[in-house]
Amino acid sequence: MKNLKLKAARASFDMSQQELADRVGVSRQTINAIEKGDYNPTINLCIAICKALNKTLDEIFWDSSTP
Amino acid sequence: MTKRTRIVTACILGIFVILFLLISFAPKHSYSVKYMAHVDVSGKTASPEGMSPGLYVSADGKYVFYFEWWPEEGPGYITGVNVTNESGESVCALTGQAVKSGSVEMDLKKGRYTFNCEYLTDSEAYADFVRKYIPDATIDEDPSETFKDGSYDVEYSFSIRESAKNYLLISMACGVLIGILLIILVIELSKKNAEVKMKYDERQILVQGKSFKYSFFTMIIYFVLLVFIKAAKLGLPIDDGLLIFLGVALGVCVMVTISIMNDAYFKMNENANVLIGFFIALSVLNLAVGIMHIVSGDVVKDGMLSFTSCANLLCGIATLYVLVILLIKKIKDRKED
Repeated sequence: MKNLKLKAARASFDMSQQELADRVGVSRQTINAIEKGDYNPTINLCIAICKALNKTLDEIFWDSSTP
Repeated sequence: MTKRTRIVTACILGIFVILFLLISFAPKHSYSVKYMAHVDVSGKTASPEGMSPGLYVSADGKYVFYFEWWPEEGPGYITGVNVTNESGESVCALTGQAVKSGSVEMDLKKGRYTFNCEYLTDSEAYADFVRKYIPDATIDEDPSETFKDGSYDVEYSFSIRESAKNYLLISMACGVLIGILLIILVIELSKKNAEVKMKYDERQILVQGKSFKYSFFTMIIYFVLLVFIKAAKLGLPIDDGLLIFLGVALGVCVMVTISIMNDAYFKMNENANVLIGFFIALSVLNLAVGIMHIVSGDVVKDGMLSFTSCANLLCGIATLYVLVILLIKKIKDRKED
């Protein structure tokens, strides 16, 4: 499932995928895969992304459609 | 690696490339003569009893004698060949027990060599020939089924070819050293930022694990099929070494395809263009050597595709395949953008 929250959070900082990737230490294609829903990141990567975007885990990675 | 070290490595690499090309393209002395014979065999007598074609060797060196004939089903006699030098001394002797015969490598001086052929029409004549000219040999099989009366038209080919064994070893060693030095240089040059270590991220490692898995199973299936083909004695006209190399190349191609198509081939902080340039150079070099082997007719030896002649061609095709997959990926990425 697509991660639109991540995309929105990244856009709010006017950050490109490459910039976010460089900050969290992964490739641009990995960030792209996470946003497209093709890859589920490890908890460490989730935390690194949240710290880079100054958001909480719930705000970016919690699937609001599930109870 | 400092700039000076890179330059030194590049120079050493250049020397080995030149040496490799000189050895690969160096002409090897080869002499051959073809001879049509019409032989009538009747009651243990052949008419004519033999023939004596000759060849002139223009330079001293290490050579191997070869003796072949057509049609392959063979006439009703065995041809015994005693090779003599200008002084009449026997240099080596061969008998036509297989479709093709070759001697061991030997030192030959410049001069004329004569292939003295005797048409041996019974087991006793054959045994006498072997005792006289090849005393160290043992006759393992009774050839009496070979001998038949009749008229036979046979084309013979006698050749003296310079031994490529030393050239082959040196060129293979050069090839390996060139490969190692190239890899070192390419790794150094492909770093975008020397301070940041090149590595794969977690997603890429997962994808590579999947690619290795598929590559492994592809190779397992290939080698199991190969075992069945060999057991069934289907007689593939391919050298065993080449069959094994083909399996490895197939596995590598599967791994590379999955890695490239899922963005797991190049590391982070890696300059892909340097690697692509390296693959282009590797492909061109290997294809050039492979085509050279095809043109010189070395690819098929004793009716089989040989590993030593086809390895470079196979490497060239494999690296070309990698380049094609990279191009497909690039086109796919552009369409998505």
